[in-house]
Amino acid sequence: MAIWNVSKECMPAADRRQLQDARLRKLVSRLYHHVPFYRHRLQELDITPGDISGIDDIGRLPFTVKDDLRDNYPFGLFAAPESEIVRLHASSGTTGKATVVGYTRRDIEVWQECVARCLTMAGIGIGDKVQVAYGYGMFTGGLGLHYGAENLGATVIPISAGNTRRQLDFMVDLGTTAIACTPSYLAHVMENIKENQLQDLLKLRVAICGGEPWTVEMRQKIEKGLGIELFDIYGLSEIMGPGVAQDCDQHQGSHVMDDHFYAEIIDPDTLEVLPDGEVGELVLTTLTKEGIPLLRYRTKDLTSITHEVCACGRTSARISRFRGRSDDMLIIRGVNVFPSQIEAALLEISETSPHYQILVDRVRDYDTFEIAVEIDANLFSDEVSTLEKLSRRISETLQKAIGLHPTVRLVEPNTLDRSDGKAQRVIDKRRLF
Amino acid sequence: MAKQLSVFLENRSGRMLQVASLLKSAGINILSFNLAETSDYGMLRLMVDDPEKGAAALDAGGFSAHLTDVMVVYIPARMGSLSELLDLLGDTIDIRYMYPYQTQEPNAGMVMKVSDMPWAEQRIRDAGYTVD
Repeated sequence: MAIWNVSKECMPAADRRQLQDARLRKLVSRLYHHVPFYRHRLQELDITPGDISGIDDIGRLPFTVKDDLRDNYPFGLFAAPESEIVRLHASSGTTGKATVVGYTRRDIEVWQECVARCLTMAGIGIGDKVQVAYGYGMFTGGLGLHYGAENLGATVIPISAGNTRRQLDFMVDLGTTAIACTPSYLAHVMENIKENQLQDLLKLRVAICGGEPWTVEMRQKIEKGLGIELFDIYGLSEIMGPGVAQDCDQHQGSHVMDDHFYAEIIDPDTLEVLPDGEVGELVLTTLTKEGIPLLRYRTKDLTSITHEVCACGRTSARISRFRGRSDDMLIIRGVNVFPSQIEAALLEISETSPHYQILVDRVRDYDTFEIAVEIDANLFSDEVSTLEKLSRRISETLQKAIGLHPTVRLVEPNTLDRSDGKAQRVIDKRRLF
Repeated sequence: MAKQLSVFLENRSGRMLQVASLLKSAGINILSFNLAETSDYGMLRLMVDDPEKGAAALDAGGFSAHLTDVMVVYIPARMGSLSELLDLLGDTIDIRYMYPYQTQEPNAGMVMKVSDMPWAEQRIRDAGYTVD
């Protein structure tokens, strides 16, 4: 298969390390001089830019967490003047406040470059028709794939998420050869294709799936069901968006674009850096970002890393399939959900947050999301219509807070599990990892 | 104003039996009741001889039981008296729910909850009906 950027993707290890060293030095200097938050952090550790000679010194640098972005909302961590920011994106925060990220023109070019590498890794090129079924808007998924596919020279079908009827019509009529969407949505589309017997009318060859965790079983099921090859793309808006890593046709881990993003694995409790092969929390440093560069950002994703050269010829580091999260975040239908967001939303309805339990499951490859709420004295009514209104209000409040409609189930008080004195807030019956 | 015992019941087997048993154990007599159901739960409304004691017994038994203010209106136990009562109330107030209470000849009792209880109670009394 083709390689988009041989000079970077197949760099000898020593050259790559030299490049990363130089970029890290420049990054630290940029942050020290342009971002007060980072300057203070470095000063607290008695570090000046001259103290960091390269990757060997990265262990001395402080970590960055999501709360740091939230606390500096919206532009407090930007390293470039606002006039140089040509794009803003946002993702949901842990308690409702969004995290805003900004891109300079150069950042957008790097993003396009990384996604073009990923698409090429999947065998996509000029002549392919790429249906981008990730959401367009403040979310990085749609526009990330769009700009990358356009950069590549493929034909982009910017259909965004949802409207399965239309997705299928376009796939058949326009001759889509590649689709980019979440794996659970692709499974859903597959059911539709089978029901409508459209299989033979499709030219679909490959799918770029990401945005949520998925199992080997899910992958095999879709690959067999549609007769296509699936690729696992990774990204997060804090770092860039989709394109931070993806697997190649060897499917032996995802190649990290490590000339742009330096990856480390740490023990989430002790914070020490772990050796290759050990599972821990993925930490990413944005070596070339200008808009909102981050030092050692803790992603909360659990994985392991290897620096062995891949059979595909690429020399970049590879991360394994994800093993879980080190926090309580859930991903439901591709949407990030924090239980703390739900708590905050329920407080809008009642002065004391009622006892609740979230039940997440997967039925026919589609995530189901139910919230059971105990009818305590605050919420009780003798009228069924009032309770129905309450159910609707809970559903709408949560929809506004997290972007998903739960099914609401009102239950008797003291019926939800309170083992060890700490309520078990979330029951996730899906086996994702 | 009378007190009704309102109980939230999940649609699980045995809940009604549990309620009836707890009230029996507490020596409470059920005088009338109504069960409104939805697909997920039921709202059980009971008129008992000692509502406070009944609420305490059900609460101790783990039920979500609360006291609700309702009216008990006595209308003549003959054909047409219900429509006369409803005509009296007119269309300016909502009837939230109603169900029969007990018949003590020559009258039949109706439990009622409406959107404006004080207004309704006054109007019904003024028309000569007995209201608890």
